[in-house]
Amino acid sequence: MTRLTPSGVTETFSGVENSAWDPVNWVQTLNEGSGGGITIHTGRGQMLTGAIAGNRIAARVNFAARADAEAVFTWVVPTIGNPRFWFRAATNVDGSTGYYIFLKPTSMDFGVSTASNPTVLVTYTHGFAGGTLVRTRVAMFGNRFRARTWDAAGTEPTLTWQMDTTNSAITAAGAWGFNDFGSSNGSKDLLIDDFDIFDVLSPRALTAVGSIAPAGFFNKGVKKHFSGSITPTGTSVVIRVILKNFSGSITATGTLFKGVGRRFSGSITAAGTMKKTVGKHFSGSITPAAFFKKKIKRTFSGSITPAGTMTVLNVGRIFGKPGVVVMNVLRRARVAVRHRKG
Amino acid sequence: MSNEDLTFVGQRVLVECIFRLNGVPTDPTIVSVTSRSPISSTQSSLVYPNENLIRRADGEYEAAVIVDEPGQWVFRAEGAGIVDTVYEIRVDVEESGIL
Repeated sequence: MTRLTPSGVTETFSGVENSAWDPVNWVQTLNEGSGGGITIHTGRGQMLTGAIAGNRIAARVNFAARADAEAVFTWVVPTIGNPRFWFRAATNVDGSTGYYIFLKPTSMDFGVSTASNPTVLVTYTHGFAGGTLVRTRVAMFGNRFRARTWDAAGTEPTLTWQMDTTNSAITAAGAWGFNDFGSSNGSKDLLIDDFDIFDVLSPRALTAVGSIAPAGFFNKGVKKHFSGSITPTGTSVVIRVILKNFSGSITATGTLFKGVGRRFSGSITAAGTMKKTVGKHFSGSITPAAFFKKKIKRTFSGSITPAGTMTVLNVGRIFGKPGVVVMNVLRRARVAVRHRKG
Repeated sequence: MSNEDLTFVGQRVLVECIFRLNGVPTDPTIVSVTSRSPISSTQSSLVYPNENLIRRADGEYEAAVIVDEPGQWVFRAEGAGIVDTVYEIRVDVEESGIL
């Protein structure tokens, strides 16, 4: 958000009584009658129309024409007069062209004037007594107009705009300022104060209405302040780290061996013979000198008829009746040998 | 044991084999007696009829084997066919003090 007030601060009309409005912030664009002018009065900005009916007084903010802005200002509800705040207006804020908000005791009128022909578009009834100090916020961005007025002694109703409407009759940039005129004799003062203008819609302070039901649950971390004391048990061992600067010298004992980094810059002549191992890829074909003997697995499917006589060498124990054989070594013939003393 | 019970190398040993079927001496269809020498493990098999394997009576056979090596000889008698049986005996042959 950028403040557009040329002085860079809120205009509080704090100049010397009866002096002109700060020319940094304002340019008086119209003063049609004697007695008219824009002066400081009782710490506010006063717009005097002069005593002649129909005299117009006008002043614009001293910045380049712009289409969009939000202005906020305090004003004293007049009992007479036709004070208006203009925006996207003609340079002299003379009422010929532009959007306006009519600052009246009973209501706010939002209107548009083209070719000096004003048309009220929206009216909001508020009903303030003459002399009441009220504050008005006017915002025009794109084709959307918003405004609200509240008793300056109270709190701004930030949740709502009393007027919120759209209009695309005037889209071009123009002047922002005030004008006033009276339809009958007598000065028709407009007193304004605390004027500010910004390039974006002011952020609103939102107040949650209703309740929020969290889906989960809150883990409350309680911040605790320790205000007691700690009495250590045991013995405190004091460890001191002393930072010392060494300012003496170090004399090495023994012999320093210097490792010299050497660069070899000569050449190496290999002794012996270098044997090259050649990696060869065989890419030809092989024709064997001999021939392959193929072993064919043959399956015999015929029959064999033995010739000659079969002699049984042994009989397997598949058939036959189990019996018993007793073996004994016979001793038919014996010889005994003895010797005698002769 | 007396010397009369010892078998000395060079002795012709007679191995008697009696085949019985249900307690009755019965001739097997095939009769064989096999010997194995202790030192050279030479096996010699006699199959009836053989001049060194004779039949003495029903189921009774006698094999004659010369034990020409000292040591323990093994003799195996086999009957097959009608009488299916096998038996083995071991005979210790003494070595000679002369040969």
